[in-house]
Amino acid sequence: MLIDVPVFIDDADMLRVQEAIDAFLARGAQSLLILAAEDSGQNLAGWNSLLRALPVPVFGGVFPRVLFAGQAHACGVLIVALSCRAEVCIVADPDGVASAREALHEALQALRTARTVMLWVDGLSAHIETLISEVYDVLGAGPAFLGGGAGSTRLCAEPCLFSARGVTGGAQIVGLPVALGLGVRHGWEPVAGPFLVSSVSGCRIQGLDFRPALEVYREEVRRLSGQMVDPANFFSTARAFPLGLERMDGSFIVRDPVRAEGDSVVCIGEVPAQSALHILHGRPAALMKASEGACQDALDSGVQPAAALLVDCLSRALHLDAVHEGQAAIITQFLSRSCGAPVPVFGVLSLGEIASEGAGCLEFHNKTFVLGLIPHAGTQPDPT
Amino acid sequence: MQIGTSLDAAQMLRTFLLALTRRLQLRAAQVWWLGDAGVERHAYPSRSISLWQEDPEREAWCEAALGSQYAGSVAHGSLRALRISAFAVLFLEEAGVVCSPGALAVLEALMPRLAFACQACLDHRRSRALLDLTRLQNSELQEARERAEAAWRSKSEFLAAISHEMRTPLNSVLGFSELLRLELAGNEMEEYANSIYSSGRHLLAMFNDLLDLAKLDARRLVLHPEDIDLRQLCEDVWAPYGAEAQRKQIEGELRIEAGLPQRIVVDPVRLRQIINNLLGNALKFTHRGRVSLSVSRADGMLAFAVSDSGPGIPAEAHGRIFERFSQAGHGSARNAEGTGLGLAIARELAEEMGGFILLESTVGQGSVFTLVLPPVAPGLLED
Repeated sequence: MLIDVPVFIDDADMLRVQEAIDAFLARGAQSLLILAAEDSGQNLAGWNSLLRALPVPVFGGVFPRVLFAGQAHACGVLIVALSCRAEVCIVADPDGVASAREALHEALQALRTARTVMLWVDGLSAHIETLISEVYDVLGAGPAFLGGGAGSTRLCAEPCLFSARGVTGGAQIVGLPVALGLGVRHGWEPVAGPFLVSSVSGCRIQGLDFRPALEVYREEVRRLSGQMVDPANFFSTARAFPLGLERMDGSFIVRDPVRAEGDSVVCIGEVPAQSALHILHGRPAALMKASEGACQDALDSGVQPAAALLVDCLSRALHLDAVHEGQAAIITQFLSRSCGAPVPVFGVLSLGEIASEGAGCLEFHNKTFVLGLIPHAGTQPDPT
Repeated sequence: MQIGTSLDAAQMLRTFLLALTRRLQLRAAQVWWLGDAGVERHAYPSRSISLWQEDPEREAWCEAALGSQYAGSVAHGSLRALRISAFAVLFLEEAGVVCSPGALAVLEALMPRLAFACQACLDHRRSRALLDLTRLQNSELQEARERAEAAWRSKSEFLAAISHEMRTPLNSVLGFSELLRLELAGNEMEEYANSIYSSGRHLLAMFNDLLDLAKLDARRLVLHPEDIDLRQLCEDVWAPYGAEAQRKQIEGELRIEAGLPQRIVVDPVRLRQIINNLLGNALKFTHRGRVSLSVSRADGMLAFAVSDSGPGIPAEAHGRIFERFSQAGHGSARNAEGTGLGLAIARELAEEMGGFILLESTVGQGSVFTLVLPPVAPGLLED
């Protein structure tokens, strides 16, 4: 599936990017995944002219960080050449999906035979989960799903997705004819709760246990850490204490509280009304163990990996800080040891992760580690 | 888990199945519902419907689960069925995670609520279908009514136009035949001229009636109320009929009750037309005895009663004589000239003026036709 090891260009030089792409095209690349770190995604005019002139399908985007060779880069471009042809479906306005449901369903018909579906979305879109539920509704549980939220640490609305149209916002749903092996874990553990979500509007939690949500959250974080949460330090304090939506099997899907508004706590990702919510905390050892667990889950799928595509959460990386820098090395070692050969690991730090955990339904995650093992070319039969 | 968030079954079940799929990390969840039109399937993801259909063994198991009457839940490989009601089953397709007994117990406890929600949707759908059918029927009736009214209006407009056009040449016929009568007075041809003249008068009366009816039908008849002297109008109308009664040697009388308003506001042309018609009929059918016009107050209304001692009208004909082209007698019994339109016009004019016409009659004793109008004080016009 991969044409050689991905190429990383450590600056924003568009000529070097073009040269690398030309080299891949000369070697028969059928599609391109381009992941640019936020400092290298600024030259919109340059990217637009490059992307629009490409003769093969292209997808990817600008992310807060690009992971390559064991490091998280704020500047640089990673080019991944694929030997298979990708089917790219572009959703210009994910926030309008509810009103354009039939058109989206029609467009997704082309992806019904895909064995892997990547979803790259503008991480600041308000209705990512609506889009995700519609995609899963049409495509079902067959393909492996992997993706995440693009954008930058500036957290401002700006074009961040790469396609043949240039740099755009919205979302892109990409179908690939080979199945990736998936591992999805987070490692966060409950330390307080459960609290009933008594009042919520989308991603804005207004009430917990019939009290103002911020008041409850502030009390608990103060009890757990001794720190007082206020609007000024909310993001830095809260990133260590995310919220967890309890599933019926006792596991959690993580929601990242990003800011306080009045008495409400605003998260990345929707929170269902009447659900049970816990406050989570992540011990570095538990988070790192979750990364290894995700690698093992991906390997258990039976894929012989040629490389590993990692979608990790920016805020998880910020919480782990220095420990996170060692994560890539640990994963690389783990995969290489398990496979008996070096497995290149690359990917992004994203604004929210998208994956189907444990072969279950497709969901939007926060602070979660998603690993996709890309198989060696020819190890899977072509369904076509 | 939110249940019953909508009365639309597809929307309600999608919300429930989506939440369920996520909370249990399922690959898919479906509700099979034995409805009026066979098995109805709701699923999240909806793709699972076609994927399941590709597996005959799975389909057969699901159909058997829907048909059997087990309680609680049964499992088959990665599939699990929970009975919602006698006619509906919830199917779960598990992924790697198998539903824990605790989660299953919670789900089973939710089933009666889901059954209620499904029943509410079904009831809503049926009442909605009934409502839609009623609306459709009403709309079809309305369309048919509008078509009929349009056709009636077209006919009336045509009639109004043609009657008007025919009256113009007829006036020439009448004018010249009257001249001919004068020219041929005493001549043996005088009788012919008289015949042309009387036939012309009859035709003109008929056209006038048709024109009035057409105007009434086409809603084109406009009343022109004026402030008039009541007594003066009655005396003017009565005068020729009083003379005719004298000529026929029958008793004639005009009675105007004391205390009536001196002036009223009414369309004098149309009021004269109605009274003329009633008096004309009375004199036409009365050959001995009496004919009278009396004006009085009746229950706060103004009553113009025309009574005669003519042959009277049988009770069964009381309703019919106000219909168009209808007279009290039929066939050979018909003994009076006329179009049969006069009373119909008189009644419709009376109704246009806010009043009505009453009939009291006994065969062999005579008839009383009473035009009842609301008395309008002249001061009202100035407002």
